[in-house]
Amino acid sequence: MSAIDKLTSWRAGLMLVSGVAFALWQATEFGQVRALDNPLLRGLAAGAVTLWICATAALLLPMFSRHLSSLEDELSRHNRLAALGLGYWVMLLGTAGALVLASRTAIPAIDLVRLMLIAGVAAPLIRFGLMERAAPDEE
Amino acid sequence: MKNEQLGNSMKVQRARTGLTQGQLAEKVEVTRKTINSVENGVFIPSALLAIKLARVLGVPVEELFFLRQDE
Repeated sequence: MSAIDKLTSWRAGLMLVSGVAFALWQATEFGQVRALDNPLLRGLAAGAVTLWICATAALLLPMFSRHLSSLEDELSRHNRLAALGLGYWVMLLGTAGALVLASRTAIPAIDLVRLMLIAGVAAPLIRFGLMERAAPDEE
Repeated sequence: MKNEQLGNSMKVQRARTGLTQGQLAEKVEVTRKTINSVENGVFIPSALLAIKLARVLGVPVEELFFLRQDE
């Protein structure tokens, strides 16, 4: 595997971790989940936010920015566009779902916004990470 | 109803020139994943990349990429 292939693979992995960790962290912040006051859930929240911060910070490391022109080729740009497109539709559905929930339940507005945020941030990150996985070895 | 797809002879041309996917990727300044994706028909390259690939492989673009029609 070339150096660029390794960087592509690491970047994809970090994006996956970042997306999943963000979704997990935000899921533990819902009012009804916080009200449970469960130490396990508090630990999960702390772990998830730490993981999210570390993964996001790692994406800003010089080893990625130094090779940006090689990492950001046209397939990568195409994948990013596709991932953002998915994020748009997921956020739209999330918003519609939030609207339905708001009209039928007494869920706080902040939780509804959180639902839309999870959809809009995590979905494209995870999708992009999956699309950017390393190519299979040459035959 | 015609279902048009883009075919390519990249694997054949690569084998003829003795280039690996990695080597070809380096020459056209893309990742190996991009070459792999184009070769397997997963990704349609831009005209710019198609021309660069044809130039490196030493064949006309029309010989490297062609329309496949399924009726």
